[in-house]
Amino acid sequence: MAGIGSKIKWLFGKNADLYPANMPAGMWFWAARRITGLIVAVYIFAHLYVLSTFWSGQNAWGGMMSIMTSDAFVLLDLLLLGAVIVHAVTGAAVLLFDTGVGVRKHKMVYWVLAVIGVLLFIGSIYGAYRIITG
Amino acid sequence: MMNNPAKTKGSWGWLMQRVTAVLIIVFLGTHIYLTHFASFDLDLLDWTLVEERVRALPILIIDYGLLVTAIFHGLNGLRMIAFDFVTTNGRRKLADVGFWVLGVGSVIWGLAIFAPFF
Repeated sequence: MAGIGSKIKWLFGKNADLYPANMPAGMWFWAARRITGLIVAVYIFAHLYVLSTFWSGQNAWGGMMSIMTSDAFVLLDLLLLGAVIVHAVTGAAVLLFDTGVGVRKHKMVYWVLAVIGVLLFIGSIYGAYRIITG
Repeated sequence: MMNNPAKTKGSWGWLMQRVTAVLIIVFLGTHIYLTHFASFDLDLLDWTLVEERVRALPILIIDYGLLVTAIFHGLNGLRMIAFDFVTTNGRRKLADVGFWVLGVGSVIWGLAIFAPFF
């Protein structure tokens, strides 16, 4: 097997499909959906683990929630929500194209969905701000 | 007709990924709103308020619906990524067994989480 350096160059070099400037809009959506999908899939299990604190009773839950509602974790939650929004918006493009909507207007669909995603994230920033400032 | 893609199991995963995607948009949207954004004055994560929500049947149905659809969608997505790298039939079947065990186990874990409220 060739060295890891040449492998990386083969995957991401200037002539490779994955070199950012060579990626068409749909491929950006695909890459973003994969990365955020991985993050959110792992989060599901972290979420189940945290919620299992219910089993340890009211006091343990209160203690866990005082950690989870600290500023740092609210900001992490905001980033997570951002990942969820990216995943939802890029997934919506797949659903639309699969059902025949906007098949000949990919770029327009991408831009409209990107704007919707940005608006949702601005709303999320407001929510996080209200939660942090109490 | 093993060569007909429509008659192999792959297309079920493809279809269910889309069905669960639509359901998750509804369930997750409601879940995040009710658990975090419905009020900034009340502490929505306080034990008594959580208990109140869990005991409301429509909310419980949404949360359990989200549990099943999210775990399916997440593991089916991981399966799709895994199958880009695991390409032989035998290893894929082995991976499927693993994903099903993990999925069913996680759903049981999730269903049991609200036990203290009943």
